[in-house]
This record gives sequence, C-alpha cells and structure tokens, in this order.
Amino acid sequence: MEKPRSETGLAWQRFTSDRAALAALWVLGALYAAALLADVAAPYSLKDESREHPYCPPTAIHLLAPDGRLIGPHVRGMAMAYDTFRRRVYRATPEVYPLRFFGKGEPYRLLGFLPFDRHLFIVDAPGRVYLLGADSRGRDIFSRILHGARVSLTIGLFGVIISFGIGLLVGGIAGYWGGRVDDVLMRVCEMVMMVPGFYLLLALRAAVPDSLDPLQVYAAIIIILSFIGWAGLARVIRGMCLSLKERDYVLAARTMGLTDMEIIVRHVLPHTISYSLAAVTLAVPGYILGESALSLIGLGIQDPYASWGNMLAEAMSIVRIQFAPWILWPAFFIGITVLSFNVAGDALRDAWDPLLKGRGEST
Amino acid sequence: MSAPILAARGITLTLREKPGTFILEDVSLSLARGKIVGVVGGSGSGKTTLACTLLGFIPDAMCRQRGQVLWQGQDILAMDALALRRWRGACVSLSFQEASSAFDPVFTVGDQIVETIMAHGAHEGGGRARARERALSFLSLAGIDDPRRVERCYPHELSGGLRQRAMLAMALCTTPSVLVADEPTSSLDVTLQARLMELFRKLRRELDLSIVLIAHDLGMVRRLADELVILSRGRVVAPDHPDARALMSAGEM
Repeated sequence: MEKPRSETGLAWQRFTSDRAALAALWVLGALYAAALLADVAAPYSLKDESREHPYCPPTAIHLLAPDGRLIGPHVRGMAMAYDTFRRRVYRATPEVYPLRFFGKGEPYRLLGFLPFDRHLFIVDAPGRVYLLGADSRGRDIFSRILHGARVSLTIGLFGVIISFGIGLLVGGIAGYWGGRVDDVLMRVCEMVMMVPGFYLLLALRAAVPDSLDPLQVYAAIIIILSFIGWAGLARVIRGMCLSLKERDYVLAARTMGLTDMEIIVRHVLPHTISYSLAAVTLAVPGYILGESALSLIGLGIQDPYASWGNMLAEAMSIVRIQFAPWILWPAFFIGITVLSFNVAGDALRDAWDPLLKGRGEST
Repeated sequence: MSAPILAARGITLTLREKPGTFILEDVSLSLARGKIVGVVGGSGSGKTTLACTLLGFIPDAMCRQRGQVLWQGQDILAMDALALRRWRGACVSLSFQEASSAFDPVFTVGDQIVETIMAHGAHEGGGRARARERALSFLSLAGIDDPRRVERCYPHELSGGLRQRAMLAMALCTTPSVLVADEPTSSLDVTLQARLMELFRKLRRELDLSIVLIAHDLGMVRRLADELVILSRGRVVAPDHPDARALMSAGEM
C-alpha cells in the first residue's frame, strides 16, 4: 500500500527536485556545520594574534621544499619589512613549517563541553598559516570567519524564530478574533513599522547599556532585531487568517468544542505555512545584515569576539582595502549566505505553491 | 410526548445590515430523545443557518431578534462562552454538508478525530493510544470497512462517501446525545444514501441518538423522520403549502 502523502511531503519532493535550491541547502548546511565545528576547523582561537604579521597576505601552501624535494604540504616563514615607499611587504623565509592535520593546538571545548585540542590543520609556532590572510593585529581571517559564523548565522535564525513566533501569534489572534483586539494589535504593528528600520535599530541599541558582556550583547541584538521584524509578518498573517477563519473546518472545530487558541494554533496558522515558511527563509538575510550593520558601526559584537559584521569594520577604509583586499572575505561569506537563503526561500515558496512557479520567467 | 432534549423556540434572525430582511422567522422545532426530526426545504430556505443556530452559532452577518435554543430546558444562547464550548461536541454535534471542506487538509483524518476525542476527554483518561482506538471504533461504527487505512489518510485522499462517513465518525466520537446532520446525503449516490440512512437508524438504536436531519430531498427524510419541519424562505410551513407540495412532487419525480 502506498504511504499516504502529506502536503509537506509533496512540497519537499518539489523542493528537492530544484537543483539551485538543493545547492543552496548544501551551502547553508556546510556553513552551519563549519560554525558548529569552528573550534576544530579553525587553526587559531578568537584571542590568538601575532603582532609580527599585521595584514599578512594569504600564505601559500607549498608541496616542494626550497631545495626541490617533495616534503608534503607546508608553509614558509613570513618576514615583514618596509619597502622604499614605507609600504609593508612580506617576504618568505626559508624556514619550513609542515601542515599538520589533526595536530595539537590550543585547547578548547568541543561543542562547548568536550575538552579537546586537535585542529583540522595547524602549523607549529612560530610559523603561521593564514589561509585567507590576516587582519591588522595578525589574526587569522579564516579562523575568525569560522568563529564569527557562530554569531552571524545564529543571530538570523534565533531572530527569525522569535519574531515569527510573535508575528504568527499576533497575526493569528488579530485575524481570528477581529474587532477591537484586531484594531489595537494592528495599530501597534503600524507604530513599529512606521519608524525606518535602521533608525529604530539604532534607537533600540542606544536604549541598551553599552557595557554588556558579549553574550548579553548577542541576546540584546536578537531581541532588537526581532522587535523590528515581527510587525510586517503579523499584518500579512492577519489578512490570511481573516479569510481562513471562514473555512468550514474552522467552524467544524468550533462545533467540536475546541478552544479559540487551539483552533488558531492547529487549524488556522498551519494553513499560512506556505507563505510563512518562505517568508521566514527570505527574512533570515535581513537579520544577518542587521547584525552586520550594527557590528560594522561598532554597536554590535565587540572585539575580540568576531562576527562577520565587526570583521568588516576594518574594511571601512578604502586605503586598507587597496593594500589588503583579503579583509573583505567576510563580505563574501555574508553574500553567499544571503544568496543561499534567498534561493532556498524562493524554492520553498514555489514548492508550497506550484502555481506561482515560473511566474515572471519567459520559459 | 416527553420533554424535548433540544428545542428551538421562535428563532428569528435578520441580516445585521438590513434589519428588515428575515433569514429565519419564528422557527420552532422540538426533538425528543431517541427521535429523528427532519428539516426539509429548498435552497436558501435557511436550513444550514438553522443547523448552526441549534449549536449556538449565529453567523456574523446575522442578528438574533427573538427566540431561544433550549437544551433540556436551558437556553444555550444565554450560556457563557466556556460552558457553550464544553456543551458543543459533548452534547450536540454538527455534521457538515461539505465533508471535503469540514476536514482540515493539513492533518490526517485520524488525527482530527483523536483531537476531538482528547478535547472532550472522551477517551476516559487513557492516553493518545486509547483515543486512537476509540477513533478507530467510531470509524467502523460509521460504516467504514478498513478504518486503519482511512485513519491514516489525508482528507483529499478519500472518496466523497468515505469522507462523509469519516465526518460522521468525528461528529459521533464524543457520544453526543444529539446529532445535527446538515444534508449528509446530498453529495452521495443513491446506494450510499440508502446505506447512510440505514446507519442513522442503527445509530439511533444503538446509541439512543436523537437526530436533526436536514435535507432538501423530502423523499429520503420522510422515510426516516418521526416528525417533519418544512422550511420555506425562513419560515415553517404546513405540508399543504405550495412550496412544500413542490418539494414533495419533485421528490416523487
């Protein structure tokens, strides 16, 4: 007997038949996995720095020793000097530091509790491996991107979960109950939406004390971002609920004596899923960018903790970008994350609502 | 005649926007325990509105001018929301005209019946498994031969007849004393109609169920009902009223 298929199952089938969406999903999966395992994948910790290597360019990985023997992957020493124009230049020195895979490095706690000291790849001090170059304090940008991913990628998720929780509930209640409740809730939504997003972000950040520990700042940013994000969704959900509550099965649920909240949560809101799931996915980039913007102007995550936004703060000077373009790497990661979320979100919407697919395309 | 278990007394509903337009006008009916009252009327005669009113739902667009719905002598339209919610489903159930839209397409049929059972604690303190067993037993009571398959299906995977019977199972799973069945047969073929009628007889016999049977097909109802209420343009009319005659002769054709 064929297994009965739910709407969710059918939508998933359509989603997975979209190659771009699958690719986006893999990219996001890889990014989140890297964030989760940042301690292992990154050769250096957040606090690691090397004053002898400011703005060190990406180190080359060599296979052949300076005398031509094959000795496997290694990096050379890097010595900083100044050229005639007082510009910083790095020259490779003959010292050889082999890359050690799963070698011992700085100790950390794997997944937050398991004491561990192996790293995916590492070189012995005083050698340094800078896969994507170094920043002004000789910190490894690759490591910091991985550590920063924990902040940048999760802020979007938590922010979206909180604000969509609020948005769904407020929209559901306003749409289902209607009347005065609806009026009050919608006016509140409009008040939130009235203020331009970025200024509201700044104002709310200003309302939170500066001297918070990093975890508190992290939580504060999530709360601030969700506070801005819920209103738009609540309005759309309310509109959908206004029509959904007229369906027979809602009346049926009422004749069966279910409570209003049970009906809203079980029989009204699930029908908004095609919209809200896509909207959630498409909203994540907004939160990532919001966090980046706050951190970029120094109001978000503070040094030495990394987020993609505060790493980009260094790239605010055009001169620095000219002589050390690799400090723009975090922007690349923000870019592919945002792009992946958008592609996946679009595909989700198409999967849930196949009639929309192809609209606006010539083929 | 014994005291009615459910009765409507002089129900008068008008449109909220146009108080001069009567949807139901002075409609009364009374249902004794274990009896079947048929409500017949053409399209737009107010049958479905009456069905909703019997459960204490007055459509938003309408406004009650007069009348009471009495449950064992108590006016349910005057009950508070909580009491009314407990009363619905537990004492009186409504089965819908359109079984296809009365099920939420997001959940399986079984889940929705289980949800109803759990909401009323009709599984007598047992867990979810107990509620599921009860759902299965009511599916087979409603005349479904393979309840285990039907229970795991989503509403759109069932045929119209199966859906109709599954909906009856959902309406009955809390063992209400009264079932208000709104055109239960209108989307079924004649064989299924006959089976459903047989089912109603059986339910009345076995569960001591009282039924308000709403239909536009007089012939079917006449064979089953102990009493008939003929609605025409929102009013109860006598059997010799021209509209009633028209219904009757159409049924015989």
